[in-house]
Amino acid sequence: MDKQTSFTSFELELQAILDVPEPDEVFVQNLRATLLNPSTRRQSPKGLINRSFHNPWRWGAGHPAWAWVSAIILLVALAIFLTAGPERVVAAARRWLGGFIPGIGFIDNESNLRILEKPVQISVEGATIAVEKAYTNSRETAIQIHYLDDNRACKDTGLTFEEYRTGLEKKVYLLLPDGRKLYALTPRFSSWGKFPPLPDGLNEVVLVMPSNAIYACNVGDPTNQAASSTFCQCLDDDLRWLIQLKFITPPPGSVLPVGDNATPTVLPFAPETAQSSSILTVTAQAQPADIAATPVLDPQPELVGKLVTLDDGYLILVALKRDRTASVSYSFGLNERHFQLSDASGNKIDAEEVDRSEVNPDVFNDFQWGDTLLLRTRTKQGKAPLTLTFSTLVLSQYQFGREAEFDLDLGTQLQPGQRIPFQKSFDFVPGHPFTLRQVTIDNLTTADLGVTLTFAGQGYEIIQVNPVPFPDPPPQGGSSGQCADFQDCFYTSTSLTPATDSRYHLAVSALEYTVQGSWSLLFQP
Amino acid sequence: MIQPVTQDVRSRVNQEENSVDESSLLRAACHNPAAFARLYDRYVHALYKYLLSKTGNVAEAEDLTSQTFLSALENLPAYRDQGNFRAWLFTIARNKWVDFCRKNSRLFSLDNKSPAAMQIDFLQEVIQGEKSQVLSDLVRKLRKNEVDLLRLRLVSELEFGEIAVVLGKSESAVKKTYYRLIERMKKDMEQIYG
Repeated sequence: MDKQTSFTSFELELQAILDVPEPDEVFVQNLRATLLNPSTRRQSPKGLINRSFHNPWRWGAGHPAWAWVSAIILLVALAIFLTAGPERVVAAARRWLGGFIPGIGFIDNESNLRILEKPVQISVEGATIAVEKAYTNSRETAIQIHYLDDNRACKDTGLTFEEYRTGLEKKVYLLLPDGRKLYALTPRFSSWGKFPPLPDGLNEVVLVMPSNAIYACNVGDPTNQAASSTFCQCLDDDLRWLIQLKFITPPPGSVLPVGDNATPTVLPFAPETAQSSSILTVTAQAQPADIAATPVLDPQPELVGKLVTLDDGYLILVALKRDRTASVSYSFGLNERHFQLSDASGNKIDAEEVDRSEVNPDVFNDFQWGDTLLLRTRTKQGKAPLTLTFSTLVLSQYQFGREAEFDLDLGTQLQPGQRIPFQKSFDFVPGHPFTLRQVTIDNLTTADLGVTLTFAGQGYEIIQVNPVPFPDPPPQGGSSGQCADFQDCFYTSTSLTPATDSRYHLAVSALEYTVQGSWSLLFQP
Repeated sequence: MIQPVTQDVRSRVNQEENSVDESSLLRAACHNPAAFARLYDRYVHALYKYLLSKTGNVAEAEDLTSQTFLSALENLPAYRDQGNFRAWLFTIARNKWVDFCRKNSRLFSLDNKSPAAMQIDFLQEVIQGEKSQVLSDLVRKLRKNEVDLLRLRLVSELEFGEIAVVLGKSESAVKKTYYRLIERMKKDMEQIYG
């Protein structure tokens, strides 16, 4: 380590979480000796420490238990197939892979699908929750709950996070008219909470939830800054939420198309890469309804995507469709918590972002759209076409049509914690100015001057401010985010090299903004 | 406003060793293994810890560390000194890890427990306190590349420019991703603890 690194207290906490033990000194010295000895260096790497890779996943390496289990399952499946008859097995599979109503749930003509008649909202002692969507079929009951507000004052039970979660599934259930309880299978209601299916013909149930089924609650007066959030029992067990739900059979013709947007436009990309077997590239536009409230540089960004079929899944490329002749250059970021990939039946497909270095570079040959989001699925199961939907786009801009530079004179008697007011406005984004309101001196060291620049302006987040000329001296990093000093303000931290005349010249080199909307990309594997 | 708290982080190599010019060592290492050993001493701990945090397995981390340094030594003549030997070394390590995963069908395996999860498991022994537990739970929920970014920055303490080389991204993109991730985790923690 040739340079000391400064971390914030939060980063140090994370560092402690991630830290791992130091290497065994015997190993370190043995490897050192090996590297110094040309004769041993010629051995294979594995021979360096006389240890081969432990690969419990390889057949022949002791046949791990899961392999035997898989083999047994296959044999059982084969036996069922032969005894029950192919038609019945196929029919069962078709039932299992039934259709889907986007935003609602599965559709299976044979599964007695029922959907929530209308959204339900209930308030209990200052807390409000709403059930907006729900369905039940022959396989499961799924309920989506939104948590709206919480003004409860609760007592701390002293529960730890794990204790808080333990047993929660036994407290959340559907109460049937005959007194039976269907306990939650996945009592996490940030998305869909899953329960067993409702019996045929039974359409009215009561969802029973304890107050702490959502998440932690505040202790003390919420208006008091000293109030802390913890895990607590806010209401007596007898005072749980009781939410009456009524299900109905969806009217004929109520099946919605996959995705909520206009039909995407198919772009004529060449369907051949080293890995791909079939590609369909589409674009999708945002619905403009939700965008007006947020000032943005590009009010209706378009997405372009591409699907590559791999041996064991799919690779999906997504980028911002840009006007390549425009002077504005976008880097493209996505709020990954607001996308979802699903198949034609509405089944959610897990996808994770992967690095560019982990994929065959040939996939980019016909996809030259700059920064690209890469999503990788681990399965090819699912009914085509696949739909990738976004509700939030986080867009970054690194180049501006005009200079975004400014001078600062901070004076010479600086103290840590000192706040220096400014009133410097920037309007290089026409119609959406933002103003530097304050410079806070975070730290004074011999190496640099740590400052936090506070801006006022709605809809932006400046993610990098560099000393000018850039990159000499190089930026030291920092953090950015929303702040509370001014209305609609944001801040960014950076480090400045001390100047003898107290004057600094800085440039906004990157900013970021969020666009709310709805985008859908349709892929045909 | 969130005030960054600057603290010195331990340096694992003493000042005297650091003062030796890396370029000189690299030039000498092509002909003199002893010079390479000094580079090895400088980076072996950080590299091993990075690989251990990825694999969660001491034996695999040792194997990959060995392969990385051997590969670096063998390819040293082809290395063009661009002032980021450490980034080059970690790039090799990361490629070794990817190769290892491909050979073992681990990288995209649904069946295998993620390295992050394994790491967290054995870290449970040293994590005390509810807040740390919640924080570790947040880490557990991160995507692989996010955890990798945190490892490179916080476990191996690489500079952003070096991480950019390792990940094949621009420095500004790495910075943006990193600080956005930190902010997101902070907010998540604040939601729980106020």
